[in-house]
Amino acid sequence: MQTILEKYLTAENITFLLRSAGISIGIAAAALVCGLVLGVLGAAGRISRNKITHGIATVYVEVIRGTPMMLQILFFYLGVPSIVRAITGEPFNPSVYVIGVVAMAINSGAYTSELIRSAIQAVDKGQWEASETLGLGYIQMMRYIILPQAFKRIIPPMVSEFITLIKDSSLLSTIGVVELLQAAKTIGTRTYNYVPPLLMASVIYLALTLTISRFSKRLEERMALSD
Amino acid sequence: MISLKNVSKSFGDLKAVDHANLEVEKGEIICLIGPSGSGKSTLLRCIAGLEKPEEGEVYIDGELLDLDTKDHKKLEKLRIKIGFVFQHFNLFPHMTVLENLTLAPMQVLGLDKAAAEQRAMELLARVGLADKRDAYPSKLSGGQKQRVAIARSLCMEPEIMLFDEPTSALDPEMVGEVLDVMKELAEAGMTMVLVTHEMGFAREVATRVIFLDGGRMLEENTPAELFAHPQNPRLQDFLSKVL
Repeated sequence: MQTILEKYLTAENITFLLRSAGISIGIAAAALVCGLVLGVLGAAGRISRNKITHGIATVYVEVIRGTPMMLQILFFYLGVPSIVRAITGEPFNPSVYVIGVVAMAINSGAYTSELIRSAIQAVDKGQWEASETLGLGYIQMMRYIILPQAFKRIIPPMVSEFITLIKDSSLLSTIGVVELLQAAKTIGTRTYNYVPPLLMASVIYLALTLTISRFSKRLEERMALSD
Repeated sequence: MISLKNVSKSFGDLKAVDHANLEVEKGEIICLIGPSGSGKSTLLRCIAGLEKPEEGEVYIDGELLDLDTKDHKKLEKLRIKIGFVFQHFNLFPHMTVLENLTLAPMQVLGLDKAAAEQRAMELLARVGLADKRDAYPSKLSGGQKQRVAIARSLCMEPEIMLFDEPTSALDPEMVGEVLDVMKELAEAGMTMVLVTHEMGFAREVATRVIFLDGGRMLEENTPAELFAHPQNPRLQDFLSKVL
């Protein structure tokens, strides 16, 4: 009798799933890095006293955090190409992988900007005052005094953001990105049984997220030592 | 050097500083005394530009200290004429003692690293902490932190030093080492304005003592006169409690 294990744990299936898991990680990492850049800009806007930049940043953060990520992905997949076509008259069909990274980066940036903003504002007021009385300008103060101290507080929540992004990248299966969940679904369709491939995908997701949160804990312990 | 004209500052309904006028001449050592909540710290913070008075003006060397100016360079130039020492030190925790001292001279004054370090080491030696150059602030005692903070201010070669209760956060046995550094500074001719509860220091070192209560300057005199013959009943009451 061919067992379920023998049927599903084939080299072919495992390679397929692992390669797709690599795509999930790659998309999550790209979204995290681009989101960090957006987050720095967003945080700067939220802190800014300039009403226009403050307004733009606030609208960005509130709209993204207040709507479902699935909707945002569909907006970039279905909405943006037709808007661009209506404006330019040219067909606009970027790869679903690019759409996925852009949508997730914009989503992640909104959350990251709030993380950065609160970390900056959590730096003791005395640090700002001491910098001011020493004559440091705003940019110097941010660069040498405030951001290095805020950065320490940002690392642990950024790691959880990375875990969230890895899990949320599964939403991209709906627009045809072959990431881990989509790969599992493909195997399920081929074999008329979804249970084994979905379980295999779960194991890979869990292995990823547990490893990363372990690593984050260690990092936190080491940073606590240097305080 | 410094002149305050009709400066007022409120926090909500509380009038922290009420129409204060003050002239500080070169070489003066002025002690602001008074009960807590009397507005002494707020007054000092107005001079340093850490608080924005809603009324009145602060002049430094005849130039208006305008916190809303678009000319940031000019504001910074005015600011660095004033050194400020905080009650809670406010050293930069992620930098060594030496880095705390060299950052602003390099970034603001444009000194190169060698020159900034040389200046920093001279000042560390002056406050007796040359051996702590590579220590992080968290490894220092309170008294050492405050001496580093004083040295950090002096690195910018300010014309006047402001001290906001510099010994209030210290354990009693460390007060002396900080006061000694301040006395030396006074003897070297530094212009100083300080908020303090150390009446002994005020009596010994100050050229002028000002008593504040309820945000108003109620009495000012030489320390000898003020402590021996207080006129205002509130000052008499205050001195009877602290002396």
